[in-house]
Amino acid sequence: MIREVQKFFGILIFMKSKAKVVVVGGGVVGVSTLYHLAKKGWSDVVLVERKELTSGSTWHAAGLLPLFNMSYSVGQLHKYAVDFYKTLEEETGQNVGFSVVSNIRLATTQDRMDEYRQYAGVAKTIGVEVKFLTPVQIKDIWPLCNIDGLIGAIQHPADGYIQPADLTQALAKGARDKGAEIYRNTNVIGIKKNNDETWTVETDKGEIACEHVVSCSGNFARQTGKMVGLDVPVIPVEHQYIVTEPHPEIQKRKEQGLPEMGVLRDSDSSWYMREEAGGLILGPYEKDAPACYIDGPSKDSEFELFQEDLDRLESHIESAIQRVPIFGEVGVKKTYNGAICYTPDGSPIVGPAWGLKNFWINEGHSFGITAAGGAGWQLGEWIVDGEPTIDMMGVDPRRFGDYATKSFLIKKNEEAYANVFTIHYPDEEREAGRPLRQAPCYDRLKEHGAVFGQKFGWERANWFAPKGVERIDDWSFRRSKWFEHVGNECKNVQANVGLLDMTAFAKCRISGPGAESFLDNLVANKLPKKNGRVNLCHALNKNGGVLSEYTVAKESNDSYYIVSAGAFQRLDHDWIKQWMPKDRSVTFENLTNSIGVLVLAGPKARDLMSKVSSADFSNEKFPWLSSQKIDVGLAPSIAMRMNFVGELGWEFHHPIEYQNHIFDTLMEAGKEFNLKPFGIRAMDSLRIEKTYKLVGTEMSIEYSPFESGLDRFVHLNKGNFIGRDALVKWQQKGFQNKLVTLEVKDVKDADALGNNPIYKGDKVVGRATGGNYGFRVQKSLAIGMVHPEYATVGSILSMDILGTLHDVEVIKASPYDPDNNLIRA
Amino acid sequence: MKILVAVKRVIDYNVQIRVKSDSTGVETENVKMSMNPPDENAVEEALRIKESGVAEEVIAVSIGEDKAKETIRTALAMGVDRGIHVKGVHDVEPLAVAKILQKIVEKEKPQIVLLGKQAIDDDSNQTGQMLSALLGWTQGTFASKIELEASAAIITREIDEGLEKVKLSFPIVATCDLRLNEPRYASLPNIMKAKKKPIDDYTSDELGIDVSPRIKQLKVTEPPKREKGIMVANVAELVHKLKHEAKAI
Amino acid sequence: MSVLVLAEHDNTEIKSSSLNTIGAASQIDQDIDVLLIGSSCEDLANKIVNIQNVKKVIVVDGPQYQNPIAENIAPIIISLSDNYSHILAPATTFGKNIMPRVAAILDIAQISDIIKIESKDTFVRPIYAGNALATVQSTDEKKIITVRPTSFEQALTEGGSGEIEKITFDTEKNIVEFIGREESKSDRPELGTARVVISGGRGLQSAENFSMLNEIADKLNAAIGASRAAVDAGYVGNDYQVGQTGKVVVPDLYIAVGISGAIQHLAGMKESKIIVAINKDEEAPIFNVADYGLCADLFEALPQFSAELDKLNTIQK
Repeated sequence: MIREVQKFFGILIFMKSKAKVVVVGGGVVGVSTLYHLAKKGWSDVVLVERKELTSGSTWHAAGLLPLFNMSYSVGQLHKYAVDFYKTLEEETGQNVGFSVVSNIRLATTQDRMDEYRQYAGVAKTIGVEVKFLTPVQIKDIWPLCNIDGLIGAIQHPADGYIQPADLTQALAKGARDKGAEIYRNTNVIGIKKNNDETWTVETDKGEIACEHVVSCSGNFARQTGKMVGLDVPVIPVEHQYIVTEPHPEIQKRKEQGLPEMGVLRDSDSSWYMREEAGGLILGPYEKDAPACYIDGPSKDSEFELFQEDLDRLESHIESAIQRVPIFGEVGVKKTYNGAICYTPDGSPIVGPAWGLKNFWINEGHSFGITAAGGAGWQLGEWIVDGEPTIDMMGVDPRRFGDYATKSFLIKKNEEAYANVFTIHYPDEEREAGRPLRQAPCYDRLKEHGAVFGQKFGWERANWFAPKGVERIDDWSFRRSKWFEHVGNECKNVQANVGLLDMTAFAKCRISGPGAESFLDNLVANKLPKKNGRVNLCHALNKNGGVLSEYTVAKESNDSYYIVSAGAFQRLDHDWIKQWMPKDRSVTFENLTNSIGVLVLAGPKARDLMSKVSSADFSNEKFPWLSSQKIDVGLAPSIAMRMNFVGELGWEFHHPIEYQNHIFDTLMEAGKEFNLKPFGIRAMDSLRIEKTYKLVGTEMSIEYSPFESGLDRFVHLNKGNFIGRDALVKWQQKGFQNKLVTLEVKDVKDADALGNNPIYKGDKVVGRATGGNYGFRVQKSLAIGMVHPEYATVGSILSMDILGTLHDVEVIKASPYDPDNNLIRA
Repeated sequence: MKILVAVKRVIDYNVQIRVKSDSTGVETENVKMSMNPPDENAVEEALRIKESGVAEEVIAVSIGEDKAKETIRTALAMGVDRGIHVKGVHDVEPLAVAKILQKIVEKEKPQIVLLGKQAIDDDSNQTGQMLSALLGWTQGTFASKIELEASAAIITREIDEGLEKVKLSFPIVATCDLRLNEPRYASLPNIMKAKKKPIDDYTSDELGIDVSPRIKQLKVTEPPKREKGIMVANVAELVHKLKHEAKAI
Repeated sequence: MSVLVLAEHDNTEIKSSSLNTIGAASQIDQDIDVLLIGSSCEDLANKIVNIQNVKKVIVVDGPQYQNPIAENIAPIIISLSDNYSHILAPATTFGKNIMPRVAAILDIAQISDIIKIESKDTFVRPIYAGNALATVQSTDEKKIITVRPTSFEQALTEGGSGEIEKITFDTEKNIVEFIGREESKSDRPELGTARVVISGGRGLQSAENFSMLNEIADKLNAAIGASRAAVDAGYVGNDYQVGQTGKVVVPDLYIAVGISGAIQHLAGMKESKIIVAINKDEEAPIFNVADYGLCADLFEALPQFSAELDKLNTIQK
């Protein structure tokens, strides 16, 4: 009788001492991960749970399954889950309590409807059904809803809610049936990296040696990360929902055999509501919900709830009573106040940990019940097959950097919670924790009227408000107050010269005797041959999709300077370090924080530079895609002749302490040339006119470089490189997509934003990856991916922008200066 | 007729309590608290008596730190008319509580005082009886039914042997069992409105009561843990083990 | 030091809870006075004097004491209290009802439901439904204590040689009228003291099904208990309830059938020597305290259990 054993239907289990994968954490996310690993044929996988399954946050979740998500990747994860959960009962014999009652999101403003229309486009491209409802139709489905003030709604017929504990138990059964094992009441007390790069998970019941560790520990995310030296950007926030006793109206509906009314979300009032056991549940997302478990829950914590605070929900309660009057008529049975994990942007972190081999993270889930299915699925593929199949950029753990300190997380995660229902404008910029990382020229840009946004913690000027115009942003899905000013910035770059701060770029130096062969294997393009030459190169993942884009400048035979987008600093550098040989023949040096970048672009750039520098900027001496050491004023700098806006121009990569001197020098000398600073929004318009591509939109792991129009940058015959063989196979199979540039007709006030579905007749044949108004060509443009047969120049297709169909014509790439005369001038 | 109901803020009955590692008590920091469940029955009964027309006012009183007001608010949200908070005292013993309540009773002059039969934290089951004795009143403890006549109350009490019925002349103290009634849930508008209902503040000093403890808590420990058991596969195995291993049958 | 024990009885027999209380009292002092307040209870007094360690039985006899009414009994105890350092009663509904009145008038902080006596002023008692144990020390000169019967050995009913002292006491006005009592009569052992208890929970689903336990109770000579859920659902009366606000039992064998094992129920039975749980939900908390757990449908398991018992032929008394 006195044996420490686990019980499982009377069969005794002893904990393994070795397994292929150890999943840490037994909430719905951990169990789904275990299930999907086992489903992919890895039955030697185990899960370790410190108390009982679901005893962290899963058990108190309201169980909603929102398909709605503005992100292309998260949307796909949610869609998978909703479809997959429906199959679980048949597979495992366990009912998961999935009530497919549909989900309705209400709108009281046009901006909200725009958000829904933009979303409908995303939904179309990932195959999620969504319907638009009029107020009268809302009333039909939700008769107890007061439709005053509503202008419409969208409905997801396929989603609803589920029983979180039942779901988890079904997944657990499914996992066990496939050979996985689950050890409950087993505490992970340490995780050690072994010399051979395997892991040893230390528990209070013994050790488990394994190849892979997956962290799914929910509210303990940071504590688990600490065990391996990771600063995990997750801190939970308190969320409350109120459960009422039954109401006769709802009970009557049931007696009459009427369907359950479905999940109702009053987005503009920031709450969700659904039926529950004849009564209602209300879940608001209020301002001022505090972060919790800042240093993790206590070691005894299980099935823990916090003291409720209805006072801070007051305005939401009032709004709910207004919208659904019966809600005010029934008593409150219980208020649940429990922790939900958050990250700074409200999306989970799913993927490899940075700097650690075979350590995976599946944490920070704010919609964990829904996301668990898809996250488990993709992580399973990532671990077993080596790569995920959908673009996981939106949830990659490496999208946050060192700047996500604990104190930052508290502020930012609380903000992410409070913003769950705010309108997610394409140009929204959230305030908390800002300004944080600032280039030296920040204050100067401010004086010039900069309206800032943030990327990877860096403040970046989005646009500049001229004198007399308020430095206030104006977010919208359509052209708004800043459109005109951005247009002027673009036109000035075209006519004169503009200055752009790109200090946020990720930069590093790869050096050593092995550097060249290492880099040659890393990227699909040939490396620059001569010192001072620059090539645009792409790192592919193992499946041949595009992971990163780098500018590679050769400094010497054993030294290369590499620049990539600032948002991907951790991702790109982690990828590089992962592949570096361990024999010290290659050295990595991060230069992001020590080098500033200022970009000068426009026809007068050369004239300006000749005034401030002793170097020779003639085309013969300083050709396109070359780099030289120069002086700017008194300061040293590397000048690289390239830019992302399609004009004559240079990028100045300088030791950061000289930035203000360089800035002032340029601005002073530039007065006679009408030098003006320009911002990121102008940059985006300018680059679209050149069909320049970005990772995450035109380039992703879902597209081969050939589909993304990167033919010139791929040399299959140069020898081996990561992803080459897979790419060749892919090419043989045939490509499904081709990048096209589109001219959009009849645009009045809204340009394509990206994710817009593209049609031939009724058929969806592609999606926009980005779009903007081109001020230099004076056309509304978009870049997109379509089925190859529709990619011929001259083809006429149609594209949905916010619910309106526009004719679009496939045009030649780079509508502005197609022959690149200006950049090579 | 006024009814006074005493309510106590305790660790929520669903929470798994933890004994502090230094044995000084049970962990209450950051732990979910609620109204003592039998007190909810007391509040409910008081409201029903008022709704039947027999009483015109129900007053809820709680003794404790600031957060005791939350418990009073819960009672107000259920429909109690006003509250009394005797502040500043923490971990008061039943005898001191009874004395404080005696003073409140002398001020408010209710005909009926209702309490929960025991608090689920210290499980003493004393306060109602003590108050009744100090006041020289009758008591109906462990009440599972209260019927009111003109000048008396007929209380059905739950006792070990079954049920007992007694007739008590007013004024009375009754302590309530969970089976007395089904406490109502407060609606949200009432919860919001409760914030505006008055709560009078007193301190034990103002009332002239010495609340210093008579009982020293030397230590608090966990009960001895049972050894972990086993699962058996079927009834035959169970009976076999009970007979031969445990020798219990 | 001198100890007075208030006896709980039915005028004919002393209740076993009082024997446990006298047993507890013996740990404080070897000479114990017992207070017997009842009606026509002379014969009973004569039996009580034989109880081990009983020095004196104080008898208050009168028709008004036929049923124990706290308002009448408390003043009697108070009038005698000067002579005693410790006054004990069982922590049954009888003792719980009466003693706090005594304590309040004497201005003493009562200590309820003790499970252990460490010294004359230091005791251990359960709090939070027995999930914690508090060791407390009384600083009052006199101690008023109720005793959890199941935690103490019963005093032997022979071996004592006490004397009887009759006293009279005038009750004040009768402000309480005893109307009646409904007691469940049973041939089974009493739940509070049975060696074997079989308890049913909501899993039994109806009062009819509850009687499925009878067969097994017969074969094991067990008392029948119930969870709060079963009582609330009306399957059995409240006197069957085992739990924090019901009875606390410590049988040698406790069989929980269709009981999930909420904290409040465990409070009433977790000290049982052997715990058996039968429940179809393998996650039910009751399995955490069970020595033997059977995850099965009780509607199948109970008849099987009954049949297996027959095979064993273990009809024990």
